[in-house]
Parts: sequence; structure tokens; C-alpha cells
Amino acid sequence: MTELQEINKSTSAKKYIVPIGPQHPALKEPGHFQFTVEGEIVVDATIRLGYVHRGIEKAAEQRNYTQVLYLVERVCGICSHSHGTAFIQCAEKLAGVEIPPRAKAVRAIAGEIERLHSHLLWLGVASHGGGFDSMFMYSWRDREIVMEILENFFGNRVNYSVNIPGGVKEDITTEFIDQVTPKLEYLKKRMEYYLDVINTDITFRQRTVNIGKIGKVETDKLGATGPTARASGVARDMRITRPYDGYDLFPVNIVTDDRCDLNARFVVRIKECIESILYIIDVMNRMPDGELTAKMPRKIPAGEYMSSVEAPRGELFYFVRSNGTENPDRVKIRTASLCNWGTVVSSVAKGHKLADMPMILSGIDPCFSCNDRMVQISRGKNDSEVWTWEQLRKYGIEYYQ
Amino acid sequence: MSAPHPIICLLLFPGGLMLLASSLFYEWLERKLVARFQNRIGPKVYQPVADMLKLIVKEEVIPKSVNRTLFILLPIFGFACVMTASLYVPMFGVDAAIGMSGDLVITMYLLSAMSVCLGMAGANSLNRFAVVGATRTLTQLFAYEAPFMLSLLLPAIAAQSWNIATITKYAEGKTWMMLTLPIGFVISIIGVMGKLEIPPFDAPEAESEIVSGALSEYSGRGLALFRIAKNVELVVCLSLIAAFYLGGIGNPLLFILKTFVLLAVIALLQSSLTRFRIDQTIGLWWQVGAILSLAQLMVLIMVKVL
Amino acid sequence: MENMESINKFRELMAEFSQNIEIPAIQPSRIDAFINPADLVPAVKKLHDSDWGYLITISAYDTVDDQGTPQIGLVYHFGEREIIGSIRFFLPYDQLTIESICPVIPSATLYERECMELYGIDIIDTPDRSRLLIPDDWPEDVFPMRKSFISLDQSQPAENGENHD
Repeated sequence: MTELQEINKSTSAKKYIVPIGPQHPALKEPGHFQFTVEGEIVVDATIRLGYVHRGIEKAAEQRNYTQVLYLVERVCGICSHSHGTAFIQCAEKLAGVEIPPRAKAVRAIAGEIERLHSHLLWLGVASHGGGFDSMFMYSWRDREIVMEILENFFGNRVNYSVNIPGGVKEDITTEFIDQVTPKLEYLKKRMEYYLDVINTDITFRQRTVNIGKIGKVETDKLGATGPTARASGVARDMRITRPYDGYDLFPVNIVTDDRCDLNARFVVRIKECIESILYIIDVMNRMPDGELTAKMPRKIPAGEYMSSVEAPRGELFYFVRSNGTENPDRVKIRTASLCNWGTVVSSVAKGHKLADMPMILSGIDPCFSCNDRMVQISRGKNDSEVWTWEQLRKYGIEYYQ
Repeated sequence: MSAPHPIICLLLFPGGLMLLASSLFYEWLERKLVARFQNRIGPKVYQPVADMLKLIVKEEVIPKSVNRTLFILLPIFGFACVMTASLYVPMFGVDAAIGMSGDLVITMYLLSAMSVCLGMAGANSLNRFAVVGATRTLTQLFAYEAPFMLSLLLPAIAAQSWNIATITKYAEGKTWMMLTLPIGFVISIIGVMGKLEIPPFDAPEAESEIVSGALSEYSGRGLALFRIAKNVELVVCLSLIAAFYLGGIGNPLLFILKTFVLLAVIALLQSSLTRFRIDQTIGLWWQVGAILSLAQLMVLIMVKVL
Repeated sequence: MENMESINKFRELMAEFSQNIEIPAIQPSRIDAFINPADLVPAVKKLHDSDWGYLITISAYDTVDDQGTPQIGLVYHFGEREIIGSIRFFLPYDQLTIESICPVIPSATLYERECMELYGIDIIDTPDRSRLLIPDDWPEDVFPMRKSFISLDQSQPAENGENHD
């Protein structure tokens, strides 16, 4: 009967709360959202995460650097290479080890293949959220090609563990290049086709154009990163602004879009996939010669290092403190989509239709295991931040014109 | 050869069991076609049967806070509505079991009653997803109902009769009405998609927003009945459209083939479109659907009068 | 160079709050300003108002000072182009109270609550003080990320303590 009372209470306030999660068909991972709706319009959004908090930061303090490398790769199955790279880069810099150029190139290639599979996965999930199941099926079938590349190359479909302290464990052979190039070229054609679909399909544009808009200045101020930021015209890409392993030798092109809406997020991600494919082919054909690993000491000298890596979802930040022993003293992880939660969801969700929520949510590519923490963003009408409401009201008025 | 006993007609062929079996086959065909359009393999032919058997055997959970009688009766009532509606429609190219003047109106009423049952079932469930789903189901009912009715009214006006049998007879003798009344035909096809909540009009049961909408709380037999009812509704609507717009009954085999073609068109549409938001659905129906069908009606009346 | 400009601007902005601004030899693209905890909000406000970067995150770590007294280090990371500028200070265990920067940067609430829960830092005026990461039945005054924390029940292995829920 408590549910009845709850409903009575909420209807008496003329508000209706639609809970989504922790278990819900729209969510592939546990998270909890509460959308307060008036009719079909969302007036308030509350988010609560942390159902998969695993205490990885604490566990990292009790393991040595090699073990922590494999531990942090398991923060997220989708961007495991980014986590590994960000962490091991800190350790290598602290130890004063410069990894060989060939290892750098392999790391960059692995990072781009990861971006490809992550973006393709996202494309499917986001389309499904909007009810465009054909795109979901097609893009996931194409993602299988990328997964095959990963499996053939690194021996695993996820958690491929390319990195080892001081370098990489897999080499890019000419045989591999011959095998992969046609697959990538086919994939490039597919991505161009998807770009065409999302730009021309009327029903798809109806669901994405001018939905979930967030302006350039706000995006910049709120600290959004990754494709979410780039779709709002903020040129923030760690591969370019803070070039790290591989990207310092082989620069990559940045993709931005000024339209700030959901459609722009689709366009940016698909164009990034095309960039990644071109980048992989380019780097594979210019592989530097040399060793794959440099010698790495077991004990890392005391010090601190902060590294940023452009994970598929945005900036992944690692702060590693070493105390001169085999184990790190502190590993702080700021995951890639955490910063986008607080920004896009809280300022964009309100004023939209309930039906747009799945797409707006998936627009930032939320990763729950990434965010192994709980977030609560609740902003009522008496919120001190006036701009949010003004902006939303303005948005709402424009929406119904 | 004398006609078989009416009871056999009612229960086995062409009514009752035959209808149920064929509705499952239509469901399979639709799922398979969509799967192939989406580059998937799709289900085996016995999959819908297996699904239904599983649902019927399963335990039915009745939530505490619902009105039990309504919860149990609504699926039965909805099912009964569509089964009754099938009696007035020339199923599988066999003449309708019952015919009277004005049976077209009864059929349309019975088909809408099914959607109302669905909405009531959702509202009765008190589950938030179900209530939102029910609201959307009923909202959508108001959106597609008028244009859809108009689109079935057009052949009736052309034949100047409210009797389904008379209209089909009329359709048989003329050029296919899909050619003479193209707008009406298109709207009737899209109306079926709206009626059955087939994508892109599946906002009432959009799983990524509201789980399965009005049916969220249903399980076991109740769910099975609603699903069969929807399948039967699909067959009834397709038969009706085929009879009206695709040149009457004629050869029964050819008639069944025509309904398959219609089903293929629906499958193609549903796999190539993105889900409409409920406000977009209403906008589409009232701003485009209703006006177009009214225009078609005007043209028809003009032609008739002149 | 743009990067030098950013570094110099950071140095300039932080000059009134900090005597100790250093660029670590190991990472030349980084600049750390050690400030007095009381100057935190003005310092953050100044960075924010002059459009120097965006808040990356807030890190806390358990450490000891020169005398070996345990203390908590707090780092507010800001990113601007290639440069990571950090505002840093130390809080002794008996004075774990700072002010919230949420009025300046609203998105900091997540990072502040993480510090509150895992390290027991009391951040006054932070908009939301409810449990963020650890389960609801976790005891008060137990802060899992401190070095002194091994497990909830000393007689049991740490894994069981973690799965207290």
C-alpha cells in the first residue's frame, strides 16, 4: 500500500515521478533515475549511481604497479585500454622510463580501435533508446568486425590488456596490417553510410535535431569533455591538447560541431570513427622500428604525476602518488563520463519530453561501471541558480513556438 | 455439398482455432520479416506458439493494489472484442460469418474497444509505467481513430453501404480502390500501425522509457490473451483493408497473399522509421492524416455527386 | 608559447594566495600552488572568474607532514590547454573543515561529497550531504580511504568487511 500512498502524495502535488532503474530495460547497467513529470514534460531529474561501487581506488593501494595496471583495466570493460594507458603512463613517467616509439604507435592504434568499438556500441544503444532498432542491429553487426580485429590482434574481445609496464605486449605485424586494412575500409564505407542516414532520415532528425541543446559557454564552464563537449563546439580533446603516448608522434585531427544538440553528438562520434579508421591505417603504414618494451623498475621513485587520456567518452584523469615502494600510495581516478553527468543531465533534462530522456541520457554515453559512484543532482524551482530555470523556460517557450 | 455445422464453422474453420493459429503465423511472419530487414536471422516458425504456450503455463501475478476483477476480466474482454469483430470480416477470403447492415461500424467499434481495454488495464495496474503507457495508449487512440475511421469510411461511401459484404462485392467489380483512393489506402495502413502500437507508433510501449507500457504488470495468461488479441486484431485489420482496397475477396488464396503483402509493407515501414514521440504522433495524425483523409473524402463526394 | 602564457597567468593569479608555487621537474606541463586552506574559495573564484581552465576533479590523499603527524592532502585540479594547474593544501586531522566551492562551480558537488565520505573531511555549506558512495548502513565516522582503515571488523578479512551490505 505504500506505493498507493506515494502515488496519492505525488498526484496531490500534481507531480508524477517515473523511476527508471536500478533495473530497467533501457539500462544495460544499474543506475537509478527519477524523473518528475507533469504530463509528458520532465520538470525535475534525480540521478543516483553507485550500485556497482567496487572500491578500486582502495584496492589499488594494496597492490603493486603491475597488478594495479590489470586492476584499473577492469574499471570499465569498454575503455579498458584508456584506463591502462592513463595509469601506466603515470608510473612510467615517475620511474623516468621513456617507452620506445613502436610501443607508442601500438598504444595509439589500440586506443583508436577501442574508440571505434565504443562509438559503434554507443551508436546502437542510442538508436535503440530512440526506438530506431534497425540502426541498432546494423551498427552492432558492424561492431562485430572491430571485435574480431581486437580478438585476432590482442587475443580478447574486451579487456585486451595491450599495455605492460614499460611498453606493450603485442606487435603490429605486416600480416596483421594486410588483414585489417580491408576490414577498416569496409567499416569506413559503413560509417559514411550511417552519417548519411542520421543527416537525412526525417524521422531520425525529428528525434535528434534541437533536442538536448547545451551551449558552448556552459559546456566549457561546466567542464564537459569528450564528444559531448566537442558536439557543443568546445575543442577539448586530450589527444591534441595534452598529447600522450603515440599522439605526440602521430597527431590526430579533431572533430567538432557547433550545433550543440543530440544530432551533433551523433555526427561528432561518427566522424570521429572515420578519423580513427584513417588514423589507424596511416599509423600502421608508418610504424617506427624498434623494441616493444623498455625496462621498468619494480620500485617506482617517490613523486606525483597527473595524466589525462582521451577515452572514447571523454577525458580520463589519473592522479598517481608514489612513495618509493612497489605499491602506489594513492591512485585517484576521474572517469570520463562522470564530469558529463553533472553537466549535461542536470541542465538539459528538465523541460524535455519523457520520450526524449533515453536519447538525451545515452547522448552523453553514460558508463555505469565507469562512474562507480553515486550522483545526486536535484534542482527544484527554488534553486539558487537562476540561469538554469531561465534558460530552460526560454528553451521551453522556443520549443512550443 | 451442404455447409458444415455452424458450431464447426465458429470454432474451427474459418473462425476460432483457425483464426488463432493464423494470427500466430502472421506474428511470426512479421517478426521474421523485420528481422531480415534488420540484418538478423529471426525466429523459427514455431516461436510465437512456444511463446504463447509458455505464457499460458506460467503463473499469473496479480498485484495487490489492483482491482482483481477488472485485472482478470479486461484481457478476456479485449480478446472477446477482436474475436467478435472477426465474425463480421471476410477472413481468409471466406464470406463473413455474420452480416447485417451497419456491421462496419460495429467492427470498428469492437476494434477500438480492444485499445480501450488496453488503456483501462494500464490505468488499473497503478504501476507508474503502466499509467503513463495507458495515457499514451488512449492519447494515441484519439489521434489515429478519426483518420483511420475516415479511411475505412471512404470505400463505404463509394459503395454507398455500411455493410462490409456489400462493400467487398462493390470492390470486386471495380478497379482496386488503392488506386482510386490512394490517400485513404495509405492512411488505413498507417492507421493499423498506430492501432497495434507497431513502431514507429510504439510510444505507448516504448521499452526504453516505460518498460512495456500498459501491460507492464501483466504476466502469464493475461499477457498471453492480450498478445493473441493484438495478433488477431492485426489479421482482422489486414483482411479488412485487403477486402476494401485490394479488390475484394476474389480468390481466397490470392486474398491471403494480399494480406501478406500488406504485412510486408508494415514490416518494412516499422524497421525503417524511428519511434515518434507521442506529441509527434498526434501532430502527424491531426495535422497530416486527418486533413488528407478529409481532402480525399471531399474528392470522393465531388466525384460521386458529379 | 600558449602553454607558457597559461603557466604565467596561473602564477600571476595565484601569487596573492601562495608563496609556494612550483612546477615539478618530472612534469613540466603542471603547476602546483600550495595555499592556505582559508584562501580556497577566493582562489578558486579568482581562477574561475578569469576563465582559467575548468575543474577536472578534487583529489584527497592521506599522508604525513614533516614531523610524521598524519594529515590529509587536498588537490583541486584545473585543466587549461596542456597545463594542469592545481590548488593544493594540507589539513591536519584535528582541523578537517573547509568551505565548499559549489557556489562557484556547481559541478564540484560530486567530488566534494566523495572527499567527505571517503576521508571524513567536513565541507561546510556543500549543497547535498547525503551518502554518495558507501552503503546506507555503513557506520558513521569510519572513512574507508584513510590509511588507518583496514576493514570494518578487525577479526575478519578485509573482503568480508567490504561486503558489509
